[in-house]
Amino acid sequence: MPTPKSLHAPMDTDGVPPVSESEQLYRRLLPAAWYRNSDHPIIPQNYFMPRPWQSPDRPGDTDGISVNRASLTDAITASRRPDTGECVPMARFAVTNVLDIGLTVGPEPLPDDLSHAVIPELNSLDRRDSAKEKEMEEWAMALRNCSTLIRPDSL
Amino acid sequence: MMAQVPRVGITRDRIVPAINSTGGRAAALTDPINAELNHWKKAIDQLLAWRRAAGADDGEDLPTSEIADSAIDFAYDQIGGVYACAPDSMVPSGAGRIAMEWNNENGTVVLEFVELGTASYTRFDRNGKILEKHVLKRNPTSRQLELRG
Repeated sequence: MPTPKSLHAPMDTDGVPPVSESEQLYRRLLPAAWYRNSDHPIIPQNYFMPRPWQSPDRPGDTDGISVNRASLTDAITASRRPDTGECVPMARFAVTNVLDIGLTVGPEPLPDDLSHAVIPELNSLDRRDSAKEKEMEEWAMALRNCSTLIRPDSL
Repeated sequence: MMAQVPRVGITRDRIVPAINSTGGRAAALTDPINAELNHWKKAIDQLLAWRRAAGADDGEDLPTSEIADSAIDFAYDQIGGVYACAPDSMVPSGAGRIAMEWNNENGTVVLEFVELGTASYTRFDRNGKILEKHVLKRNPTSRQLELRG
């Protein structure tokens, strides 16, 4: 059985329970995408990469890529974009998938979203290093390959 | 005399998977070349839509006009390359970039346009391990993305 230390140490969790290995995670996909076969789209690997660092004003995903914990929200809420309320497709995968790849998940609750968490190893600061970026590309591909696409119309 | 750089032509079997290498998907089509052209045309329509939206929204996720132009140039060039397969997906990949992705039984190719005339090419095997990763620059003469030293 994996040791608890394989999970990311909880930060300021504000009463949110630590991430457990039995949890499922959601990652919202950007709605602006084009698919060759929109009936059976393949989740793009790039959706698991952090937004790149551009400048101090546009630092990208410095804390890691965002996910939502299925144990602390429901799928419809998780699929809603915070800015527009639009329901968008999501990738669903397990915490054990993340751990098996060698990554971690840390709770990072937001005032209006207690289910928010991050995968900190996939961050824009490390992505500036080409060797680390290459490693991230493989992690992102591994996450893609173990993910299931959840469409808004299926919720 | 300029050093000869290895050319990595986009339009054939080296980078963009050719129709013949996609196996059943292409073989199932009665006219695979025309089908690919139609896919490319739809992809170009999307790129043009992103190009038009580029100036209207300052959002971090929308492609910049320069990067959209680079992707459009690339896509138009593929229409002349009759064996070039249209991507499975195109997405805004953050910081104004656009990522195209091809998948087949041998693995995945990701071509991410990162700035004007420049793309990052990554080829994964079927297990998700990177086999190749290069920065490609567009040669305005050959109209191809080429590996530059």
